Amino acid sequence: MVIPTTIKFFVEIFAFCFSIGFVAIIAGTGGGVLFTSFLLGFTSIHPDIVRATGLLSAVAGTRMGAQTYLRSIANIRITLFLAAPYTVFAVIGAYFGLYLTGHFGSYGVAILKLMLGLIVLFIGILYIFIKKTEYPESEGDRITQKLGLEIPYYEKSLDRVVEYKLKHAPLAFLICCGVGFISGTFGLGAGWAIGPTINLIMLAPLKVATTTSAVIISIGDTAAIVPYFISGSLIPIFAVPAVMGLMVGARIGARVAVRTKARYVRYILTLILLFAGIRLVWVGLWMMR
Amino acid sequence: MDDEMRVKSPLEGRIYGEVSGWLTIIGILVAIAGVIIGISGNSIFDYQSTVKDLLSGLNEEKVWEKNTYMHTELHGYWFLTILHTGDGIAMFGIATVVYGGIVGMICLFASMFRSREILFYKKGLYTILAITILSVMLLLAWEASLH
Repeated sequence: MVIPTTIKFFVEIFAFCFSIGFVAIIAGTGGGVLFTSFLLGFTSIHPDIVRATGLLSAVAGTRMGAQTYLRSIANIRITLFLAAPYTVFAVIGAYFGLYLTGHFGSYGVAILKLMLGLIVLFIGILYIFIKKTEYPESEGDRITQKLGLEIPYYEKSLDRVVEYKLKHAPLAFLICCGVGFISGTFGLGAGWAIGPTINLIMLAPLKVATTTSAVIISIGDTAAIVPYFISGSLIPIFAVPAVMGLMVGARIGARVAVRTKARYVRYILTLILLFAGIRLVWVGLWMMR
Repeated sequence: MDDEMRVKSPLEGRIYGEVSGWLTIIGILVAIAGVIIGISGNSIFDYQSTVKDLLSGLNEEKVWEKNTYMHTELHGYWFLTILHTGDGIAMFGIATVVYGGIVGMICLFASMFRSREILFYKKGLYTILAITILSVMLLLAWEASLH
């Protein structure tokens, strides 16, 4: 009798996470935001366990990508430059999140859900307005040029080397401090913010931005997950099927994405995020009462 | 093809990607094997009540205390003492995934030493950034060993 219940739970978590990974990759984002906001908004699973598992999924997924990206397009200098603030603040965020739930009990959980709801609503709105640019034009600026961040890459589809100039490195550095804190606190991953920061603020080509952002998350969230790992927030029977589901879903979704109109999936993703965000705010407020 | 060869991406990045990527794959496979062994009976958990308690919102401390035969919250590297059980193996796999990134960063840092030009590029800025990230990671790993 014990085995069927466990297997049922394993399969349900796997199937749920498979769907999230599948939809998220077609919409051009990571699964972390959907995973954390959905499980915190619609289940009673404790936030520490959800956030730890969300971070583990983000780490595993982005590392698999990093392996391929770092062979060609991803820029290791931008990675180190932005991963340093992201890592430090993700760890501070992770401890802050654990402190909130550990010291304030259910009130801390309520605050966490309310704040996460507001952030998820913001991300949903961000998805509506962000227009990514394939090859942004930039003359660069003095400070960013001094950092020597640019590494040209060979673009197969154009059959030539793409050279680019970057801008606003200090601003991107500051943004990564905030994004790292949010990622560590809520176990969200950070694909929703770092990619657009590198593409729209630093003006790197879109491919460089998306691949480099995955590598940054793989480094930063490695550090952020350690406090959760130490505190025992990773429960194998929950974490393993969740990570498996998200990764298999993302892998299959990536193949389907080539033949799908990502715009419509993005609209659906935005609606899901807005829905989950409203639900989280409502649950947070209700718990506070 | 000449262009492709000319802009070969930096070795330190490729090393980080390969090391952390492969350790992640190995870790996940070990974790899956561990969970399967656990489900088939060799487990420290009472899985039925674990699932119930997870869904009812108990925190990790209570889940560990109530549902493992050890009846205590398990910190740090506790799983190394129970590697003969499915959960010990699964946690070892998860630890391999978590620490794979740290091993990758150590390899990235070590590969920067292959030339002075790379080590001191932009007055050593990128070496300092790598040291910063690695220090944070190692500090956390060391803290885990104290529990």
